[in-house]
Amino acid sequence: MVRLQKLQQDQFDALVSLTYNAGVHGTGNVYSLVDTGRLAETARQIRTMASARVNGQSVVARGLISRRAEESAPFDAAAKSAAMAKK
Amino acid sequence: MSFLPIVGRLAVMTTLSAFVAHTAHAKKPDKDADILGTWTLTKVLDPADIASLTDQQAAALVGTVLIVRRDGVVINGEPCRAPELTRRRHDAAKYVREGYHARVGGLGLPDIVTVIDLDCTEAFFKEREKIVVFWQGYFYDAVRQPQAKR
Repeated sequence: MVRLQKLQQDQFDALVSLTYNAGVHGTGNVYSLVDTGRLAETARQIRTMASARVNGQSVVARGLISRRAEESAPFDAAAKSAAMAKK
Repeated sequence: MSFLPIVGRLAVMTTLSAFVAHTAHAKKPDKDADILGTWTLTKVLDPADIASLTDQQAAALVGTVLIVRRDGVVINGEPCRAPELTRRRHDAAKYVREGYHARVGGLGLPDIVTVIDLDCTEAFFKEREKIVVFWQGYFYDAVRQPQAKR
């Protein structure tokens, strides 16, 4: 659950999309990263979530790679903005 | 009739009170003692529909450590915040299907399972000194590491 950080609309939308796909508890680690403000790590973690079960095997799914790229983008952008602001 | 002067009696009473208080505190069981401690991942169970790892990468995590403390959780070297350690009982099949998009069949959980919040993941009580923990899209068996003798 994200309780401490205020989300931008595109970040909220990304988490809804991710949660719909992986489940609310399957996304728990991502929520924890977001809530501690670790936005670059959040984006990286989202991008890793691209393996799906196919015929009993876990395989990287091309469709998930592009979906995760879209979902991680708002967190990447926020992390870059924060880094720029610090300079 | 008194065998002790008033100062002596006060000293004895104070000592006794402190001893009783200390004993009562020492005997109070920690309600989270069954989860606090160091656990070792011992076996890959099932993956969820969506995972961050391949089967080979998941297998490589067997032997890594989960540390549960009141001030934080560490799993495979990754730090999480202080856990609330709230626990709830759920229908295992429904909870795993709806919350993790996974099947409960291979997890060996009881039908009604106690789930404990570890902040960045959850643990399921399986049996004494044995939990199931979810990490990066896979469920693992984990057993408590024996405490070092002092």
